[in-house]
Amino acid sequence: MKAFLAIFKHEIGFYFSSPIAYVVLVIFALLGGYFNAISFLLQYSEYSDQYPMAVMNWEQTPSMMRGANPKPQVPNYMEMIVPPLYMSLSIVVLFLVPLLTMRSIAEEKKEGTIELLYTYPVSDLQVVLAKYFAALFVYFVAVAVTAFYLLLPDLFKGQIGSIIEWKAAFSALLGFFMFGAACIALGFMFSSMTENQVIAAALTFALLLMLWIIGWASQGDAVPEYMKSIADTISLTNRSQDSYKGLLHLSDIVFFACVTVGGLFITMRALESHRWRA
Amino acid sequence: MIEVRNLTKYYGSVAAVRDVTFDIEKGQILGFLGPNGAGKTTTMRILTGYFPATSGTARVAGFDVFSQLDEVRRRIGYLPESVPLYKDMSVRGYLDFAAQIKGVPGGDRKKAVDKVISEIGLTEMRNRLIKKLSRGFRQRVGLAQALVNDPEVLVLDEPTVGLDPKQITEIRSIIKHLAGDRTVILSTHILPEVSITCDHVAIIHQGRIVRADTLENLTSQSTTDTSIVVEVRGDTNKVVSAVRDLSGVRSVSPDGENPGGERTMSIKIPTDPDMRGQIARTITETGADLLEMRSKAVTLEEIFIESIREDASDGGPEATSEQAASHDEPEKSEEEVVEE
Repeated sequence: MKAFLAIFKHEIGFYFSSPIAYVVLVIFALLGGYFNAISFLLQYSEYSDQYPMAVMNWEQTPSMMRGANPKPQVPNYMEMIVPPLYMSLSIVVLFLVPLLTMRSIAEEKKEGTIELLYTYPVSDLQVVLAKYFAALFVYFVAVAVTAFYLLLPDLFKGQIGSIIEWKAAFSALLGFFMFGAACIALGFMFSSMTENQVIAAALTFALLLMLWIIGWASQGDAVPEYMKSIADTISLTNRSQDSYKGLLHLSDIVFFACVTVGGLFITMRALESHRWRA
Repeated sequence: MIEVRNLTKYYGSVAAVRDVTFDIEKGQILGFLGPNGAGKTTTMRILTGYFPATSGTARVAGFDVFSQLDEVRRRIGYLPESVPLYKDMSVRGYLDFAAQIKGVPGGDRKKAVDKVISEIGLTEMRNRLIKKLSRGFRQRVGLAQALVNDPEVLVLDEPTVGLDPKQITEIRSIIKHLAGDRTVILSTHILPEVSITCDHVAIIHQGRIVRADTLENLTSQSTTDTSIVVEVRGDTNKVVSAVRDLSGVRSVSPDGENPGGERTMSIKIPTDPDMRGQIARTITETGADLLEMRSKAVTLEEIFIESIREDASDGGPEATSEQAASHDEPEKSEEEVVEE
C-alpha cells in the first residue's frame, strides 16, 4: 500500500508539476465551455424565452380550436442541452486521453526507470493501478469541471424555475466518467506496449477514433441489422449516449468496467513480458 | 549471503549466462569482471529479480529469487548500469520517493533520506533537480537510492562507467566506505577497479565464470612461472649468458643498456623451486653488481587474459584457437535448446 501511495503521489506530482494536466484541463474547459455556451445561447435560451408566450397563446386559444396541440412543455434543459454537450465533450476526450496516457509507461521504458520499478519491492499490479488512478484523478478533475456547466444554467433559470434534474445530471456525469476511465485504460494499454510516446498516442487515438465512428454505422438505413447491433455494442460513444439522457443501463456500466479492466489487464501482461522476452 | 547455483539464461537461442555458480559471504565485496557482453548485467538482473533465469537457482540472504522475490527485493539495493532516474525530480524528492516505495516507515523516512544524502555527499545538491546534475552527482543519486533503505546487499552494475578520473576515485571510495558489513557485488570491465575496491573476484567470459577466488589467491598462484626483474651494472652481456645457462631458467629478456652501464632484465623462472638466491650468486660471480632484484607482480590483466584463453581452449576438442572456440559455442547452445 505504501508503494502504491508513493507511485500515486509521484504521478500526481508529475501531472501537476508539468504542464500536462493544465494543458489537458484548460483545453477541456475551454472547448466544453464553448460547446455549452453555444448550445445554451442558440437553442435553449431562445426556446425558453418563447416559452411563456407559447403558453399564453395556447391558453388563449379556445379549447375547441387547440385540436390535438398539447400544452407546451417546460423546455427540458436536461434533454435539449446535456446529451449533445456530453457527446461533444466525449469527442474532446478522444483527443485528450492519448496526450494524458502516452507517457505513463512508455517514458519509464525509454528512460530505463522501469528497471528500478521492476526491482523495487512493488508488484506490477500496484505500479499499473497507482499510475492509472493518478491519470484517472486528472480526468476526474475534468469531469468536475463539466459539472459546473450543468449547474451554470440554474443561475439563469428566470421565469421557468429550476431546470436541473439531479438524478439525470448524476447519470450524465457518471456515464461520462466511466467513458473516460475506459479510454484511459486503453491508452495505458498502448503506452505499455512501446517505449515511443508518439506511437503510444497515435495507436490510442486511432483505436478511440475507431470506437467512435463505428457508432455511426448504427444510424444508416442501408446498414444491415447485425452491423448496427455490433456498432451499438462496441462503440464507446454510443454506449455512453444513454447515460447523458439520464438512462443508466447496467449493461453499459458492465461494458465500461470490462473495457477498463481488460485494458489494464493487457497493460499488466505487457509489463510482465520483459520477464520472458529477450 | 548470495548463493548462485548453475544459473543459465537464454535470450531466444543465445545463452547469455551459462551454468554460473558462485558464493558471496556476508560482508564481502565481489568484483564481477568481464568484457562487455560477458553476462555481467544478465546475472545481476537475475539476482535483483528483474527477470528469472532459464534454469538454476539463486538465493539472496537465504531467500530464493524466484519464489520469494519480494523478500529478496526488500534486501537488495540495485544501481543499474544506465543509472535511470526521474530527471524532473529534486534529489531530495526522488530519494524520499525511493524510500517510500521501498517501504521505509513514515517516521524514519526523513531521517533515512537525510542520512544517505550526507553520507554520499549530496548535501549541497539536495534541492537541485536531477536533470541539472553532472554525471558524477547523478551516479551518487543512483547510489543513494540503492542505499536509502539500508539494504543488506548492494548490486552495482558498472558504477564508475562514464565518469571522469576524479569522479571515479570518489565513487570508488564511497563504495568502499559505505560497504561496511554489507555484501556488495559490483561489475566492471575495468581491471584496476577490482583491485582497488574488491576483495573477491569472479571473472566471467562468454556467460561462464572462468575464475573465482580472492584477489590475493588469484594474483599469487596464477601460473607455474614467476617473473623477476633484476638490474645489474658491469659486463651485462656476460651476466645474460651466465643466467641463461642456469638450468631451470625459462627465459631472459634484457632491456637496452643505459649510458651508466646499468641494465634491467626480466627473467622467467619456475615458481618452485625458488631460484632467486642462485641467480643473485651467479650475477655477482660474473663480477657485475646486482643493483636490484624484485618479483614482478602478476597483474589482473594477465590473469584475466590467461583465464579467457584457458576457457577458450576448453571450448571443445576441435577448437584450436580462441576464435574457433568462440564460434563453436553459440552453435552448441542452439543444439541445447533444441534438445530441451
